[in-house]
Amino acid sequence: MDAVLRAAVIYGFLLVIFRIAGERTLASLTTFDFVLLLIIAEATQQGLIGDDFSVTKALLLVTTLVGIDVGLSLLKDRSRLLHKLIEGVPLVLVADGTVLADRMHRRDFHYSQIERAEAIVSVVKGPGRRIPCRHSATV
Amino acid sequence: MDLDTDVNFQHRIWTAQRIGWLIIGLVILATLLGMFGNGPLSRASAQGNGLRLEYERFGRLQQPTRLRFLLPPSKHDTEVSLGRDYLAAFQIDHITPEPKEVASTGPWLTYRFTGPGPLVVTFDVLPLEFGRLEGSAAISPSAALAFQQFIYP
Repeated sequence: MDAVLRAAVIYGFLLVIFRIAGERTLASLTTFDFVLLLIIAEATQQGLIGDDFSVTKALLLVTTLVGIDVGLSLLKDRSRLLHKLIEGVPLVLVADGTVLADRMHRRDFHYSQIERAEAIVSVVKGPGRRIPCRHSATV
Repeated sequence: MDLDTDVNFQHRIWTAQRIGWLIIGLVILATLLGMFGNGPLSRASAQGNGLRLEYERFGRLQQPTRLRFLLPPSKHDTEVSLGRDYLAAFQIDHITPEPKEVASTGPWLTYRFTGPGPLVVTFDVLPLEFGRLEGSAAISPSAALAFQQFIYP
C-alpha cells in the first residue's frame, strides 16, 4: 500500500513544484539546473523506497508512477482546465513583427532566443504578415 | 514516399496498450488493498488454544514484518514457542518485551517472558528468504497454530 502512496505524493509534489518554478526547455537547461535535477532525483529516492530493498517494491513504484502519468494524460484530454493547469498555455511573444517586451520579460525569455527561432523557421516580419507563432515565438 | 506502414499492426499495438493500462490500474488497486503487503488484504490472524496471532499474509524480502502474539494468562511465566524451520527464514530484529530466556526444544524455540500474563508480544522480523513460508506457533508444543506467509522477492 505504501508504495502507491509514496509514489503519488512524490509525483504530485514534483508536478506542483516544477510548475511553480516555471517552464524551461531542455535546451535552455544550465549546468546547474542539470546538477539540481540529479540532486532532486537523489533526494526523492529515499522518500520513495524507504528502507525496502525488495525488487517488488521497485516494480510497484515504477508501475504506479507510469500509471499516474497515463491516467493524468487521459484526464488532460478530457478536461481543458486540467490541461491548462498542468501544461500551461501557449503565449504569443512576437505579434505582427512587434516584440511584446512585457510578456518576454515575465516569461524570462531573451531576444537571442527569438533570433534563433527566426533562423529556424525564417519568420517573416513586417506589416500585414503574421508570424507563424505556433512554431516559433511561443513558449 | 515509400513508407513501410502497417495500420493493422498499429491497431493491435493500440489495443495491447489499452489492456496494459488496465493491468497497471489493477496492479495499483491491488497494491492499495495490500496484495503486496501493508493493507487490508494482507492482515491476517490465527487463533486457537488461548493463543492469538496477528500477522501479515504478504511480505517483501528484507522488509520488516511483524508478528503480534496475544498470550493468555498462565500460572508462572508466560511463554510462546515458534517453529525453528520458520524462524530460519527470518532475522529477528526486536522482541517486545524482551524475553527472559530462550530455550530450544526439538523443532521449537521457546521464548519465556517474566510475569503471569496476559501479555502482548511483538516480534519484528526481517524475511531473508522469499516464496511461501509455513509457520507454526504454540503455547504448548502439543497444540500448534499453523499460518502461512508469502514473501515477494
